[in-house]
Amino acid sequence: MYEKTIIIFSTYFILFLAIMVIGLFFFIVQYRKTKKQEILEKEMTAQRHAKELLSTRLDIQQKTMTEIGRDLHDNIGQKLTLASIYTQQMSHNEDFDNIEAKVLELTNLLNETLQDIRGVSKTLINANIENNSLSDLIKNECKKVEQSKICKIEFKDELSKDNFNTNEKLVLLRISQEFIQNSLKYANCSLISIYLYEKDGKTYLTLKDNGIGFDVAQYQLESKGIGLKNMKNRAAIINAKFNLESQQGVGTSLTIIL
Amino acid sequence: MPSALAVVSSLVGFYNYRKLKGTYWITFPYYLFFQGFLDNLGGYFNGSWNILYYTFIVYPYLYLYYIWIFKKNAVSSSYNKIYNIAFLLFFVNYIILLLLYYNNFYNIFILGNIDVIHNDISSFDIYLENNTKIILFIIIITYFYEIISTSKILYFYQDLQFWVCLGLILFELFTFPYNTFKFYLFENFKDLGTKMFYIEKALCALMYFSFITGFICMKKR
Repeated sequence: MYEKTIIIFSTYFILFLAIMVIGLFFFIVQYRKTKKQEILEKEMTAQRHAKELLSTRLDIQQKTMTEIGRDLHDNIGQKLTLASIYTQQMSHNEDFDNIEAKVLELTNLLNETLQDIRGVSKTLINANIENNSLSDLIKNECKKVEQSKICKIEFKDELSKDNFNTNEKLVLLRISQEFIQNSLKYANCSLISIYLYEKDGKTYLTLKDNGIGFDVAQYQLESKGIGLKNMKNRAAIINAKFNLESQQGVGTSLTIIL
Repeated sequence: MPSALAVVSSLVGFYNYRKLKGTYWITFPYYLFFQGFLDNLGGYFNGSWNILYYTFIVYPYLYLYYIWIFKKNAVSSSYNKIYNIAFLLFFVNYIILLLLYYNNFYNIFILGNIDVIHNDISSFDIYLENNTKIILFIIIITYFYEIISTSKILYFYQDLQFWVCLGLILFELFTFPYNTFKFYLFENFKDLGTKMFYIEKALCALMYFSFITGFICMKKR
């Protein structure tokens, strides 16, 4: 009887151990499978982020080129055409008394054109994001909005130093541009506020407008939010948190936490 | 020894309290501390009183807590059904127990004759403990199925529940035959019964070490 009891106990323990070993084997196989899947997913996400980043770079490049093209065509081109007309007029004009005034006018026009060309060159240099701080880049955007006179814009920078890498600057600038453009186009706002600050070792970029606001959930549900999705994806590229809040009649606020 | 180990693991839990904040596992150190207290208190009850104390106080406290915490940590609501069934089975188990041993309970609670329980002491204890262990085994298997079918498996060592399950499976299931035959063993083969008793205590210690490892390795995700 004693031996029988020992056999029963031993059989149970061996069976239990066998089940544990089989379970462990299955667990390891499943672990390796899931790990492989995770690595693959990470690679795909990295590829997608790289693509997004490239598209953001191209976007900004395209925007800069459009601005320069518009400047060349609308401003410098017009002034040089005017200068050419003046010169032609002078060659046919026999009124030598006024020639001095005409030359002065022409000189002024050419000086103005030179000034504009310097402006364009400056834009080209400024496009080099690497050489500018994020604060300067946002200030430039603010200047453009102020010049448009559509609404007021205020920018407050409380960062002790600019520690952003080029990608971060590029993405944060692009998100700010997108937000400003959306506010100008759709929000019917009178004020846009941009606030750059630090809290608990994290950097916050908060963009607000006092426009008509919208229902974020409804907007996403109706699949209209391509711009919104782009901003979200861009924030994900630099592993930043994206928090958009909007209240109808009050305004919209976007916070990027890095 | 088990009650001391329960208190030690509870203290490790309190030391890692910050990691537990915001999760249902915050209750676990309290549970362990009280478990240690109840185990210690059990030592003051003898014979039938001890059986009654464990049947109506310690086992419900122990098993209901595990079912509750597992249910609260379930990833998907589909697993909730299994935990609900486990809850139901636990109560059904008690109803069947009361019906099966109706005469004993009638004698104890109505007539105040505690000694009658001695006649059925072995089957009474085996029935209850083994059934609840089967329920516990079901919920542990549910948890393991849950982690192998989700990405939770990648961070299993950071999950306190994994270590709790590992400890429970080592102790509760390894000691399953011992519980079934313990009275028979002590009556007929005292020597083997004593050896098994020490193995049970060692496995119990292993279970609490597993809990301690869980507290140390745990990371809030």
